[in-house]
Amino acid sequence: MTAGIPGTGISWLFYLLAAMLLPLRGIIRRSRGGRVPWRAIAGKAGLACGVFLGIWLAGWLLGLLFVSAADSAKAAAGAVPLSIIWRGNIVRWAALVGAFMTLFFVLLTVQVARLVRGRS
Amino acid sequence: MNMERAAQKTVPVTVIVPAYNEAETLGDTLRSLQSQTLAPEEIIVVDDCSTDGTGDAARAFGVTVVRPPANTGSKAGAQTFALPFVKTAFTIAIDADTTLAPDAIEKILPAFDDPNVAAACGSVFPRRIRSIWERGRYVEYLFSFTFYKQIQDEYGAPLISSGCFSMYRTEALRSAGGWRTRTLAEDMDLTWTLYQAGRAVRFVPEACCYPIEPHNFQFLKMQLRRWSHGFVQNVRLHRRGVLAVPFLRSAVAVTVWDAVVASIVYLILLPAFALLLHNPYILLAYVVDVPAIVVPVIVGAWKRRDMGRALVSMPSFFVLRTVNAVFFLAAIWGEVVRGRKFLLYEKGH
Repeated sequence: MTAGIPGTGISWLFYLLAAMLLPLRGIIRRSRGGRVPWRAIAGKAGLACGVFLGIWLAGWLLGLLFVSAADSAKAAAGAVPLSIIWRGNIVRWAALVGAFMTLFFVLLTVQVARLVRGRS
Repeated sequence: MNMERAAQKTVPVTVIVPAYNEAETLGDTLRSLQSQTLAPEEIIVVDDCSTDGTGDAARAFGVTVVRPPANTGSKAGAQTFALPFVKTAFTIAIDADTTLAPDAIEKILPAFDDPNVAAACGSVFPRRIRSIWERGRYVEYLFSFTFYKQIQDEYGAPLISSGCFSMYRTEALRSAGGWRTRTLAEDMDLTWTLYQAGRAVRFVPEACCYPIEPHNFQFLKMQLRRWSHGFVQNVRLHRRGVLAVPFLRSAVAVTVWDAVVASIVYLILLPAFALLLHNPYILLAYVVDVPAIVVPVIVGAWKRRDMGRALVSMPSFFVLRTVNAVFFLAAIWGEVVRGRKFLLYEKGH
């Protein structure tokens, strides 16, 4: 976030993707003969991987937390294997898909605005 | 001290220090400027008609002191007043309550090897980290300067060249009209103006500065009001121009989305849903992004060997984030919904 400006929402995903795309961008720049600061890029991409891992772990933990008592009871009774319930929990997937779709919508809107502005 | 200064290598840099009633903090700022590994050619303190002896305090350090005929009413006004006095190729703007790391100028200067670079900024860390607000800001800065700002720089578009410490190519600064008073965030206005003129802005993480951050809510309130209104004003002012700048347009859009929509979700919808659905687990959403925050903060703190303080300060960050959201929504309400442009410059550090 920019200090003083609220940063909860899709920023983390935007910057995470931007950081993970840096190596690919570096390869393209290198192929065009440009100088690429590989060490700096690796550091930023590594940091992004760390953030991604942290978020995934948090999602996994929240998923466990949200397995309802009823489902757990069903699993305990052997009606449904617990692994299926856990795999089927939608918390982390819903959050991730929701964030991706929102980010896509925002970036698409910007591109459309740019095109409209370019024509006017 | 004079002999030490004589031995210093001087670079073609003029430092402008706008100051209104800053006698208490100005000394530290000037000392840090005079003990740089690469010394600026001139230091100009703009005594903006202070009443606390700021001008005399500055003169005691042997720097140039200029005084406008009347108080300019804002930091931007004072800085721009000093711009005609600058004779060097580069200009540094620094707040009168900010100190620099001894090698800050040496670290930031190479960014201008590229002739298209018009501005560069460094990392910012609070000088004092004691109150809840200073701690929250410390985490904000650690996160921002370790992660977001570095990514922005890789894509050639730091969102803002910080007003508390930035270096500019003087001709670019003059072409942009100096620091304008049309918004409350003159640094963001200048940064985005430079991008639209086809110039580049860089972030140099190794060049560190240390401002005094708001230690109580009264000062924080003034600062956040200035920052949030300034951001909204800049988005409105530059919305067309920013669309032409790659990456910046996306970064601004994402920031606006988060600042507006996510703030509404954060402050209104989450507690409402938790109450309506009688499900306290919904409130976990407040901390769901903790890992995304903690990882860069740990990396940034580890580099500064200040891990303990950073981790202890984490809860303060979540309090500050909530306060940020309140002020931002208030700014949106005032500027966009009610159509009232807030331009009263209040010094809140």
